[in-house]
Amino acid sequence: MNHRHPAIRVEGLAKTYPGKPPVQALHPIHFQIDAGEMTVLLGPNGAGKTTLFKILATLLRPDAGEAWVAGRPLSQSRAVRAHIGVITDPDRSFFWRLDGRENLRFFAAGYGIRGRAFQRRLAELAATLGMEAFIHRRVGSLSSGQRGRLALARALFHRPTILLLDEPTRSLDPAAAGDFMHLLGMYLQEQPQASVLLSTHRLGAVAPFARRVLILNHGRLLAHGAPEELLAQAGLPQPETRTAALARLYEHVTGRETEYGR
Amino acid sequence: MGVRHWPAMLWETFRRDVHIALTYRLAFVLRFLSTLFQVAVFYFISKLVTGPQPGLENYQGGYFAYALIGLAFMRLFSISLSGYAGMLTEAQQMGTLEAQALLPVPLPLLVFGANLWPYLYALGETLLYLLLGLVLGAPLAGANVLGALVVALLASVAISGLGLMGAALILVFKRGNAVSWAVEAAAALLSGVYFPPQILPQPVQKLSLLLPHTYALAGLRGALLNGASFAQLTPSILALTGFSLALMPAGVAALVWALKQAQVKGNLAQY
Repeated sequence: MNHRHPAIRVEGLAKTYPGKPPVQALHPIHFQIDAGEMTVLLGPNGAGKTTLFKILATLLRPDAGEAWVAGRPLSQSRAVRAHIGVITDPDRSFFWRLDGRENLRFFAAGYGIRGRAFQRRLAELAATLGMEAFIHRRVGSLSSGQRGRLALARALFHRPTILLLDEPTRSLDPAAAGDFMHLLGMYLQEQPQASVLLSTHRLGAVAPFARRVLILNHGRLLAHGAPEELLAQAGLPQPETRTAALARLYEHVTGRETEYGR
Repeated sequence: MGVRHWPAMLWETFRRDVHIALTYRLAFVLRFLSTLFQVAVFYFISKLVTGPQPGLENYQGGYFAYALIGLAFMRLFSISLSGYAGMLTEAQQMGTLEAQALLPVPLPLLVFGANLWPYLYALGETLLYLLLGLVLGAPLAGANVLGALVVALLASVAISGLGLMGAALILVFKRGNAVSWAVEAAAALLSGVYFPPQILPQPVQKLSLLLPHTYALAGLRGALLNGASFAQLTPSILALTGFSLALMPAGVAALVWALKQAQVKGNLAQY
């Protein structure tokens, strides 16, 4: 990645799903994520978060606007994909009849990682992510938490400079979600130039890492920045904890309550 | 990932599918038994088909040998026709399609790769049919094996073009495999799989000329039962080359177009 460029730059991206009636999932949005930043994408269901992820991951074509991921325009889809690690659906995106190792072997080959390079990286990630005990078990027999770790390993295998994580802790219990975020934090310490865009409804799990937030609602980008700055701009008091700060900001911007209360 | 890595990716796709297939060991036994029973059924039916029959006199070995070639190669052609659409449907249902589409590899390459193992397995079954037929007296000893291979390969390319169009329809309409079934049923009726097209009414016989299966089976029977030379196989080879040149680029173009449509509609993983 060329670090003179922001990790992600979005200019006027918009998306309407064709149909009767058409559904405008994203109104034109603009934002930028710098290298080394972790940004948390918040928004209620149907806000347009997954649409945004799919566009940035080149799975979906926008109707208008342009985005650059790792300095590449989305039209260079294969170059973009080579630089991103993505988690969309940890539970259903593996070959369940194969074990974890065989799954990772297939996906790693897609990045040209084979042979000894694969073995080395597998050993590293198995140790870092605590997968030694289950890496040789069929994916179908793994728990959701174990599949979540496997999904993280797959996303990190090729050492991407940008991680797009769409509700990666969706099917995890709070402890497993905490473990997941801890492992992600370890990766970010190792790779300080890596950037992350992560969506979640679990404010508590991501709060310690959320340097910046994006808040979407009804396809519109309502807020973008550091939570403390956004609270100050809104004239709201700064809560004691970062989780409470995120919750207060989210409630103020979207008008919806969180599990942390008003 | 550059083009130089594509053969390795095809190998990994093939290897993945072999590993998955090996987890269903009973299926191998059942498929073997199915082949055995099917050959036996047509062997005994052939005992009822005696005397000169229209269309059969062109080939040695009578009805059993005729039907054997039809049965053996329809498995291969069936995979060429419906394997691509089947792979996409399975990946959509399992949820692995988007994960594969996220790799920096063209998705059509993975679709093609996912049909390698089924194709080679079907080729193995075709050889098993022929072996069983040889044991039961089919006159295969003087076969032009190389000629048969050329015809089978060209037919596979031509029919794969139709198969890729079926895969494109799966992506656009989500139920496009019905087209593959329709083509396969038409081939079974018109192309001389189980009986010579000559016994069909004249206008229907003409329809058989629209299907590559017709030329393929005629060429394969000529090569395997009559030991026909390449010169004698030329009409089949030319026809199949024409079908391949027309259908394969059309199939690839249809699949690429359908993938773009799925990216616009956001329904790549829907089924």
